[in-house]
Amino acid sequence: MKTIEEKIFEHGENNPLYCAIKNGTKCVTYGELARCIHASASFFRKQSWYGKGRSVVLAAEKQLEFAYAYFGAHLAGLVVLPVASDINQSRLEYILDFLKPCAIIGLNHNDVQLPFIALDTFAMLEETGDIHDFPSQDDLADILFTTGTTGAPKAVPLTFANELAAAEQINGYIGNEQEDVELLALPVSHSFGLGRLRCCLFNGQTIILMGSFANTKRLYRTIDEEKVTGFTMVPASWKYLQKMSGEKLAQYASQLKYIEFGSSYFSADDKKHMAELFPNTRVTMHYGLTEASRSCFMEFHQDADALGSVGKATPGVEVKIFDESGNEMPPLGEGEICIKGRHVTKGYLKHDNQDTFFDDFFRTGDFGYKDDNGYVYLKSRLKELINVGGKKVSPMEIDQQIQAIPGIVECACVGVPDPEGILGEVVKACIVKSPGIDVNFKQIAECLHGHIEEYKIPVVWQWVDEIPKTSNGKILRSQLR
Amino acid sequence: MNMETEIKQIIADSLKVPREVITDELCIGDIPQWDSLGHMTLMTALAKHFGITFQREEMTDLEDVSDIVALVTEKSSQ
Repeated sequence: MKTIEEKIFEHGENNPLYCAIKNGTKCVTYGELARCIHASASFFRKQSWYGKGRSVVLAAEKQLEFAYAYFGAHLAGLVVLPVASDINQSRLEYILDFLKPCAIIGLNHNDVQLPFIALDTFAMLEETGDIHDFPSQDDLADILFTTGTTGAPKAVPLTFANELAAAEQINGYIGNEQEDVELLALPVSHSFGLGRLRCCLFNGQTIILMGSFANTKRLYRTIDEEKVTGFTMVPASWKYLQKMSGEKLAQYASQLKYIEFGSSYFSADDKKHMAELFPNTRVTMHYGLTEASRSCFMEFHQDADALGSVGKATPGVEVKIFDESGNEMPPLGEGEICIKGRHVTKGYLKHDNQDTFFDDFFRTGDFGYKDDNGYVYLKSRLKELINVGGKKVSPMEIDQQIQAIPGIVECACVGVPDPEGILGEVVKACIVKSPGIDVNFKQIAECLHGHIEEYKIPVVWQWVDEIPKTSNGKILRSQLR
Repeated sequence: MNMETEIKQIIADSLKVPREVITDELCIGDIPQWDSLGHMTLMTALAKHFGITFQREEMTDLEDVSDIVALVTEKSSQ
């Protein structure tokens, strides 16, 4: 079996002039991509801090140089810690302290005392005659961090074998092929977007990078001019497109071969509507998590009778429901959704993984059941993550920031439906303040700017006398919605 | 403050970026702050400030700062 990196080099040899990645007017062919990855690997090996198996933080910017640096680091035997370019200081500090990476790429934070490399560096590297061995399947490729709800974020290690298995399973289900042209407007700092990049390059197809969904005029022009056949989005992106341009995307229904949805709740009615708008497109949606990417899939036409589910186990993946003692539940029996497959992480780093698996089934922390036909139904997310337009938000992170403001006694945040109907969920903050203190919600929001990302700032606010808790002090967030 | 300056100031304030970043050629989505959420917030702020409403066709046709200035100026004078 070949790693994704090996497949890119194979495409570079067999199809060197074929466009691999396009960003604006710049197009890099598979031949050029392989050369740039090779040159990046050589560059990494020459650094004084270099050591095989050491890790580097990489700002996941949607630009060509990110791809060179990302795959180049892999080829050099480095482990990549991809982070959002707008990562907040406290999360970055946590990651740096936890994993002690040896360099930071594309993210120039003044307070960080680590060798810094600008992403642009990777645009102009000279080719070398160095020979690089491809990584082994069992080597670590990436370490991603969970959002962290019940404590600190957890470090999720993914091997080359994990990422290869995920790419094969995803491409196998969606059915995208080498001649497809995919438009990626999702961030590559999240496993969905980064996974799409890996899947397309593994296939030898063309992927077009676009900053975001914000510029709808540019989006439709690109679909038109580049003859895009594949498209990926989260439900919030679709809501945004509808708000800004109605159902114009459906004008391309005969051109779009596949659409992949992911990451958050999408109602059965919305799925049915999508199926009607795109009668001949393979419209898919996945259920998965960083630790076990795309473990279930559904297709809106094929699974029309089970649109309320999150689909069935992706081919190559086993999904079982266990009770809290680890006993498998019969069909329709509710319990924890657990996943087994070659794509699943081996367990969190620097963590007691006793509760991470039931035998070799990864415990998702999500609660649901499986019906007689194998469809998995999600009942609740035990982890209480808030899903703001596809971005996962830890309520605890915001609680802590608000509680640090003078005059605030306690705070508990929850996800509530977006009043504007765009983002799916937004953050609601329930706050207890000290008696006699004159503070208002606007002042609290202003205190949060710069400390947490903008999308994490609460939209709905409520003063409460106390935060409801269980007898052992755990916040009962469900009572605050 | 003339109309164009006022609109650009609102764009800068809404996106929380320095005023000098807002050039005529800056396209929607060109800077991280101007993502879909940022754009929705901006359009709402402009509509509220000038007491205007935008049609879908008008919003779909916007590409950069100069398009927004032209549209808001035109709608405000009606």
